[in-house]
Amino acid sequence: MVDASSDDLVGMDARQLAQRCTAEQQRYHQRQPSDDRYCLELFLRAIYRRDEIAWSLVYQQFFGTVLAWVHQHPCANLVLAHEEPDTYASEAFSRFWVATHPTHAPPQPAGTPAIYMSTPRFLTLASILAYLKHCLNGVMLDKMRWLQARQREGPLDPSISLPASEKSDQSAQELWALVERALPDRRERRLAYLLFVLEMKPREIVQHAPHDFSTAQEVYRLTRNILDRLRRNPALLLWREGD
Amino acid sequence: MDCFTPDALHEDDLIISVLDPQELSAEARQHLAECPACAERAASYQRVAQRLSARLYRWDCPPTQEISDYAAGFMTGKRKREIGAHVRRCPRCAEEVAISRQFFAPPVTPAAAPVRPRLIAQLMPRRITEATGAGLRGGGGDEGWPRQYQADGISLSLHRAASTMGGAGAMLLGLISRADSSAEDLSGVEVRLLVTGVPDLPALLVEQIDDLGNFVLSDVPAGRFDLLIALPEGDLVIEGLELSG
Repeated sequence: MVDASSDDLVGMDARQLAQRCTAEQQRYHQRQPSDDRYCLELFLRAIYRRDEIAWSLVYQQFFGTVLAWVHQHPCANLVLAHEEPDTYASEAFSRFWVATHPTHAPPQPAGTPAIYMSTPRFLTLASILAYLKHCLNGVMLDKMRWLQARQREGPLDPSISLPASEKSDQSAQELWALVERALPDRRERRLAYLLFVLEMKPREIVQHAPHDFSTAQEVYRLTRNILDRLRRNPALLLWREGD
Repeated sequence: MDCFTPDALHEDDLIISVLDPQELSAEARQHLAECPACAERAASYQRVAQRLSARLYRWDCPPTQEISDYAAGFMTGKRKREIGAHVRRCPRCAEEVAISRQFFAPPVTPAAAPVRPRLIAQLMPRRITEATGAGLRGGGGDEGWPRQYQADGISLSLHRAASTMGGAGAMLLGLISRADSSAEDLSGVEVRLLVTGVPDLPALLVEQIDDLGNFVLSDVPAGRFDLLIALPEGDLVIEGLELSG
């Protein structure tokens, strides 16, 4: 934390800190020697004192930096086709705010690691910015997963949509347990995972697991076995198509 | 319903039509298009496969923030081992870890280009501005505009106007002159509009000065910007231009 003997920092209000922070950031960007203490103090007041004025000033000061990171992310081309960069930058700050205050975080299931239950400790501006960048990464990955899920939905046969009774029944974990029990062969269980959980194509599967599946033809043959077994399995009656 | 034609599709062809339709032979594709029995058999497989995927897709993949934690090295202990084991068997999560690590890696810094001298232009008091605003093409006074800047023998008049042609943003009109040279000497010099405080972001707009010393930046959004004029001897900079909506 900030050296208690730094009277200039202790005596400064948030706006004064923000002004000095801005000046030091400009020096940093001009590759001149700069002092991180003002920006660090502003962040620490926002995080540990939950000072909303400090937080607002931090947001103003570093929003542009986070915006630049959005454009630099490896998934930028994909995700920016669907949302403005400001949206991702704002969401990154929101996640940072939540992650740095345990009482704001959503309830965690039993057994949640302590890393998610306690406020992270920051000693330097670099570590704070690294964590902010990490929050942005989560936002961008979320969008990428969502887009991949949308792409695979495609034009489904209307009979595919699950009736409400199915949606309220068995969780995915329970269903997977049923699938595993219905497939006694290890290779078939592994193939079912690659096909239905990861939605990999046969040639991807052959590349990923050549020791188990040497050719695409083998994948087709085993897939037929899997689907025939699952269709006949009494525990999976919900998945049998009607006549 | 069964297909009793001599060219009835083998079950494996039906699976190919579900998993890899582009790999299906032309003959098989044609048969599927013409045979209701085989089409229904293929559709039956497809329904089961799609219903399984709809329910099971990435059901056991960790949340993206955990993937990011793992990639950043924030995770420890048992959960780290669990995530690591999952990443080793899940190519989707492995890809996300690779993307995250690429994002977190320090940027590769090319050999530093020489830092160009910067000259910060000073805003002159308003009464001087009103006298010189009429010299601008399309100029006129409006809400603190036009503005006059000076720096080391260089004068810059800047005016903000509504965008023409129905554009969403504003127009910035500039006229630059230098005491020791003619307007033609500045022809072709680049003018860049940058978002204040984000040097890593490419310039929002780039234009060139004409042979009379004028430049126009069109469709400028609301925000806070730095205007940079790349003179041969260095960059003339107007910092923190506030443009409201």
